[in-house]
Amino acid sequence: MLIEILAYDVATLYGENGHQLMLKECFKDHTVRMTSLVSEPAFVKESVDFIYLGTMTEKYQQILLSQLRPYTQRLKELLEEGVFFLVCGNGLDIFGEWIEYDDGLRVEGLHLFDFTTTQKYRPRLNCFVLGEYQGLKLVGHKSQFTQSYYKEGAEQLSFFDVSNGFGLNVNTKKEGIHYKNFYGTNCIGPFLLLNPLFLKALLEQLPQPTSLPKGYDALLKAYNQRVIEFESGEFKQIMGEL
Amino acid sequence: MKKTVRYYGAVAIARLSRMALKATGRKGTHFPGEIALKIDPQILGSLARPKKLIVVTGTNGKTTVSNMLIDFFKSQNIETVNNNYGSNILQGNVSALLAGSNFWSTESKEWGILEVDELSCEKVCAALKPDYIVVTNLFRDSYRRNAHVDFIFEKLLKSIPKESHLILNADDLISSRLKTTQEKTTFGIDRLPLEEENRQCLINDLVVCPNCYHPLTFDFQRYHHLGKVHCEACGVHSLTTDYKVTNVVGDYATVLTGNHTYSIRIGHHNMTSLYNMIAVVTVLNVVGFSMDSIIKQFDSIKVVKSRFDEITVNNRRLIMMLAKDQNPVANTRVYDYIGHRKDVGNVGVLMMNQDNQHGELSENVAWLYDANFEFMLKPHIKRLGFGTHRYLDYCARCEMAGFDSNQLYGAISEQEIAMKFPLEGLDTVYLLYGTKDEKKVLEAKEILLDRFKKM
Repeated sequence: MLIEILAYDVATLYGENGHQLMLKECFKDHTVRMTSLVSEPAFVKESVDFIYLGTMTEKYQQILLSQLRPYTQRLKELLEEGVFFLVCGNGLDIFGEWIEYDDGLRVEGLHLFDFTTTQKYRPRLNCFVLGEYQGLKLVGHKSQFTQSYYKEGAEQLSFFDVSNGFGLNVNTKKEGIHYKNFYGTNCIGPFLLLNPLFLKALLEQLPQPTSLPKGYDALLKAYNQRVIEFESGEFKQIMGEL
Repeated sequence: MKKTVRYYGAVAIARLSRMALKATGRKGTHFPGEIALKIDPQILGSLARPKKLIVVTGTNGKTTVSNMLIDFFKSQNIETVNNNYGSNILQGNVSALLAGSNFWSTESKEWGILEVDELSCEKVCAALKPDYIVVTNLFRDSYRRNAHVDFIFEKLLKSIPKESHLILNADDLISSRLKTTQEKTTFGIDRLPLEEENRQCLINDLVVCPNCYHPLTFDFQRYHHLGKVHCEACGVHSLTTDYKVTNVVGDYATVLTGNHTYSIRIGHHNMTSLYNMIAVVTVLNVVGFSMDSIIKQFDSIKVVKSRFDEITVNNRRLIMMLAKDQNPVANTRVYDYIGHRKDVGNVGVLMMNQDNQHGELSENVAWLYDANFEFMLKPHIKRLGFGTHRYLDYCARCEMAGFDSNQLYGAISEQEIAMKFPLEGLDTVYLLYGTKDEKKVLEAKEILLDRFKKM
């Protein structure tokens, strides 16, 4: 299989290096292509099976959008073909209709999904997240300036429901985007490393065998501990900045 | 700014609160300032300002640099307004200004040295218009609060008054781009003998040119984004260095400025301390102290081979090291040091520096994946232990880094890991601590020393 890590050089905020390390290990018997911010993506001309994008600064978001915009149609094709996408943190923002930044600048997104995003530097939004996807508990954290809003009247292709914390914005319990094999979430953690059962389930959906990362057993124990804690109500949410 | 009734009320009550804190034996950090700001939110602009003011900010090193400056001024019998006993946020700076002035704060001292948190610079610098602003460096820090380096950079860019003389780190192309046309002096460290040409770390926040976004070329990469760099597309490059360390021989650093070379005694032999030293030397010379007086003061510093607390019991060494909680850069620097230091025999590393506020909030462990645990994957480092609620996350991360699971030990508390961490075959144990839970760390330290005695 061919796995592509987009903007590997800059989409590394908030521990997303962990996803890169993990993907290289899980796909060690396959080809992992590291595409820089300004390089032509491999998916343009090659048959890609899995695309990952992490979290980056607002400036790099804008540059990446300008880089990817010419390939919007190709991305739509890949989406419909069932190529796997994992998009975390504010990487998800670029797949919507537009992003409006704190200084008033509005930048067109890739229009793959019907949501919009607004960025405000104050307040910084932080929370821990407990949710559920197809009966599986999911955990994560959020630390962000943005909030996204599903377009009114459009189908809400949410990824999972949140029971503790907030979803795509502070007024919803619907988190992320899930469509076919596209999984997008604003959660960080890194998300897959905090959710090893989901990671395993995701890998099992792929057309060819993969490996579990080293430390999987410890990740699983940590996950089980976290689920119990987040469900217990023991932790208080402190939503703003400290 | 004209003083209002609210101002006088704020000052009076803040002074009373300070007296009360003193009477109860508490230092109070920023409490008087907090009270004053609640009563008069505009108070900062009305308080007496020292005639000459130095502000020290940046991600790492600002406390050490501020304290070294304060010590130097003291050695010259010059009192300063400072916050070295207080906090570096807005409230702490207000407290410091109050403490350093007369009752109604109409007069202050000749000099002020204030350590200012990066996010507080906006208000502090706008109100006080410092004569000198030192920016030690800019790195990733708290995800919750400081987000990312770009955010802090933009905040500082808006905060710096055009009148201030900037003192910047020439080896840091992020912070050294602050106000490019303003009066500035730079400090740095040349590539030293035996330094690797290119030390890559997981975190590098300067991968592409800040001007044209072309990939940058590092001529020399010390660590993270520090070093000498240029862009082949548009020509952007690191600033020239006005005050630089060119060599370290024994306990002395060679410092070059202009055409003059000086030999300055250093207290500690590590890169962090060298950067702090050269920043201090630069500031002192720029504000008017002679190099002779600076050298003399450094000569009087007791040379300590390690900045850390080292205790040997029964031929076993315990080394206490500060590794700031959840700070991936600070931790990576420590891991790098531990990995490089080979004169301490077989090593075990205990980590007790997780911000463990169990019950109050759930700490985000993403920083583990930004820290280079790989730097400790060395033959002489035999095992790691974690005394934290999140020890399972540490274990997982270290296995991903390449450690064997049977090299990793964890417990939910500092005391428990200190009791059960296997010491057989180890000559040295490093104990990494953070800025919180000092009592628990000290208890763990005593447990380990006791175990050393009984071996």
